[in-house]
Amino acid sequence: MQSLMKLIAHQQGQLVAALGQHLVLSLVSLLIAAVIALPLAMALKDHRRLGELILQITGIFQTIPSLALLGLLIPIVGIGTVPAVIALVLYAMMPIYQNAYTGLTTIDPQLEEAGLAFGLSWWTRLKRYELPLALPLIFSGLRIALVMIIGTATLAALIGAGGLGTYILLGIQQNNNGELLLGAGLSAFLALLSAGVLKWVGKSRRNLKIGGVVLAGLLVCGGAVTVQRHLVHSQPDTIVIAGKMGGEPNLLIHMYKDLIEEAAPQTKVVLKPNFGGTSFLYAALQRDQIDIYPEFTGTVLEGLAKQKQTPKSPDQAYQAARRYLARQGMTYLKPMAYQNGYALAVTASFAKQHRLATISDLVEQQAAVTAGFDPDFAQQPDGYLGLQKAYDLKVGTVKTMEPTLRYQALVQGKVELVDGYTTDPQLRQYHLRVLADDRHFFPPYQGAPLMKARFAKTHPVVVKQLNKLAGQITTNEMQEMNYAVTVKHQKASVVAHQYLRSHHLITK
Amino acid sequence: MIEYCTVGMRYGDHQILTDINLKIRAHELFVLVGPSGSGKTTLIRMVNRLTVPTSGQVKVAGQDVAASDLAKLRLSMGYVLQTASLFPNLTIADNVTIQLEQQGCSKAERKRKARQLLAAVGLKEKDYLTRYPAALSGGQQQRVAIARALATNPQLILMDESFSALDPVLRRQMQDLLLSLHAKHGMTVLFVTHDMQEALRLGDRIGVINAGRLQQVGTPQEIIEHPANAFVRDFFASARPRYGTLTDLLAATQPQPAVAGPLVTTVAEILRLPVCDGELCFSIAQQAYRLPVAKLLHYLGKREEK
Ligand SMILES: Nc1ncnc2c1ncn2[C@@H]1O[C@H](COP(=O)(O)OP(=O)(O)OP(=O)(O)O)[C@@H](O)[C@H]1O
Ligand SMILES: [Mg+2]
Repeated sequence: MQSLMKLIAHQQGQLVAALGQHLVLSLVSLLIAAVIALPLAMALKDHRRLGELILQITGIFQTIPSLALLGLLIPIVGIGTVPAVIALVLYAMMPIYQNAYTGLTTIDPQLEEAGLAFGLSWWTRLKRYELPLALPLIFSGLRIALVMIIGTATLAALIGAGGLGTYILLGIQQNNNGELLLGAGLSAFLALLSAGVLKWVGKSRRNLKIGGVVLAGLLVCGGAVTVQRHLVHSQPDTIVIAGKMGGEPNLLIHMYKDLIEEAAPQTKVVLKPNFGGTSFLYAALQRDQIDIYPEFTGTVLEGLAKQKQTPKSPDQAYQAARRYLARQGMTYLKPMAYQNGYALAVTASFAKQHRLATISDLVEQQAAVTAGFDPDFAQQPDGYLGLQKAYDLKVGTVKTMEPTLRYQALVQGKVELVDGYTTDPQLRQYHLRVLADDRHFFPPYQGAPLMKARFAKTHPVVVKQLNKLAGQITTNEMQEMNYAVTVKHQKASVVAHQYLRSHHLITK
Repeated sequence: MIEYCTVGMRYGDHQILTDINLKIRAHELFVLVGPSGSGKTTLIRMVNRLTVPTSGQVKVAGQDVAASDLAKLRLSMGYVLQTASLFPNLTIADNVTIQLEQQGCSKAERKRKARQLLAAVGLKEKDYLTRYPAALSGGQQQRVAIARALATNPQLILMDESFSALDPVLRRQMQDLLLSLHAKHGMTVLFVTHDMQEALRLGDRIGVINAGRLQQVGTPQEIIEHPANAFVRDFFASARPRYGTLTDLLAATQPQPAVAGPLVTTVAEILRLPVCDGELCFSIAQQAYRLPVAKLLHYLGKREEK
């Protein structure tokens, strides 16, 4: 709870921005869905067969899992806000359409007959009594849709559309329950709040008018911000740098920004932190939605090139990744020093007691060791399964546990061995020992800036500046910085700047 | 005003109406009466083209409705349904003037007209204008529905079982209202009912329909006295006055013998004889009688009580 309050205090600005982003994303989607679904219901109320057919179709949209829908949309419209809005609109269609259609088609037939017999036009009937009589149902449809949109919009973070989902994803990724709770709680709160507001708006004509004015205001503001951003992006010397979820990529892109601005102060660098996963970022790079993002050699080989055999030496891995990317029209700059890959860790005292330095050392003690592994790590061939073969390792007991609990279990002495990533801040926080991978089983993961070859050619200054990071930042230094950002909640921009200054990579 | 020319209607295999030929004159209050399911609603809905006949044609004011402009056609006639069918979200004033609104009438004009129309149907207080239908009794709602049908000063008003849902007292009031409005404005009214009492009370002329065929058209008197067939006679049987037989009359009134008189065979015929000196003279078989009118009225009154 305390850490939650601390988190809120430290991230106030970002939190408000995410909240606003979430709200605008949701409202825009709701509005578009309503603009499509309501006239559709009005047009089809007198064509029952077609009307029912559309009802079925909107129902089908709803049965597509949201992740699958996003996946389907990426090849068509790329990543970012657009596919998120499209997906949300598709979901919202059904409740809005269904309620409006039902409301308009279940009006007392005597009234309908009267309206027809009086010679009232289609429009007069709609305006004077059909819509007013269907209004309660229409509003409940809008309310259901909005609550659903706000909940589903958390997934938008996956494809770089931002919003509260960023916190949920970060929370999952960094085993930080505080962030997860914050994201989920805020989105639930937002859903309840907006449902209440809509209910109030639907109560009377006056409320409806007030609601309309406020919505218009919100949309104008949101629209202005979006347009402004677009203008920013379309300026010729603007460089957009994105990073994956998490504190570490965020640190790196701040370093990139500082380095570029040092040599080319007139260039505008826009950062898009927490922009999603590998495939989304790579797609965004290909579609020129972003210019640069930091990527790991191992991820390129396994995730993008889908190679079976990853070279064991970091340098060979980098060269293989660079060659692969060059064929795709990409330039992959030189990597930094640190490795961010799987690691096995023990407490300092346990290491000392059993004189452990490498994974090979562990083999002698294995029978007495209880390990706490992430369920994925325990099951995967590039995790514990492969490790068993490579080292002939078989620890006494393996407990699978949630990533969040692993390090705590280790510190509390419930397990003696855990898996993790080499740059996890917890290694620094609890003074843990990482056992050296002396047989080079884990694939090498080194980070380096990735960009289009065309971009590299036209931006030699950027390339020169970013290459200054080549061979820099040791694993320990990265751990330290991750610790400062994710545990101590220091600002990534500040930590990044300090590092560059103290290593004389920038002067200002 | 309305003319049905060999109109037929079928739904799939069901022939609902067969060979209907009927002329409804301008300014008359014509009642179409028949048992439930006989095709009355289907017939009346053909006038405003809510239903289109599968054969024959329907003309209004000499023009085939199939060829007329639908909106114009419908705006030119009033329509009163079985239930008041007022739009619950609109005020009484807006309900009454909805056709005027469709015609593009100004707001002030509509308000003036609404007040006038409501007054015409006996809803004089000003505050009705701004009330909603739910705040009116059933009878008041039906009055509003009639006012609404009068809004465009139509030459023709269609009424389908418009009073059937009301209790007898209210129904009588509404019938009186309709009769007085008709007397005052002289519009043509086509009124559908399944109640022969209502038909006799309202109709200038009555059309009797059964099983989709028109049985007889005529004034109430013609229909009662000269039913065209057994169906019409039976349908109106209970409406015929119960005069009793001549034997009953003789037994109850003990008339004096007389010198001579016209031969009669029914009580009804006696009722139509001229009165002289407060007495009626008639002969039954070979015997002539003198009967004081007061005694006859006493006899008829007694029968009526039964
Ligand atoms: N849309 C339709 N499809 C099939 N049959 C219909 C349809 N509308 C009416 N009918 C049939 O036509 C016949 C006449 O119906 P109609 O409504 O004209 O009767 P009605 O004389 O008005 O009866 P009521 O006094 O009960 O209102 C009925 O047998 C009815 O079942
Ligand atoms: Mg009927």
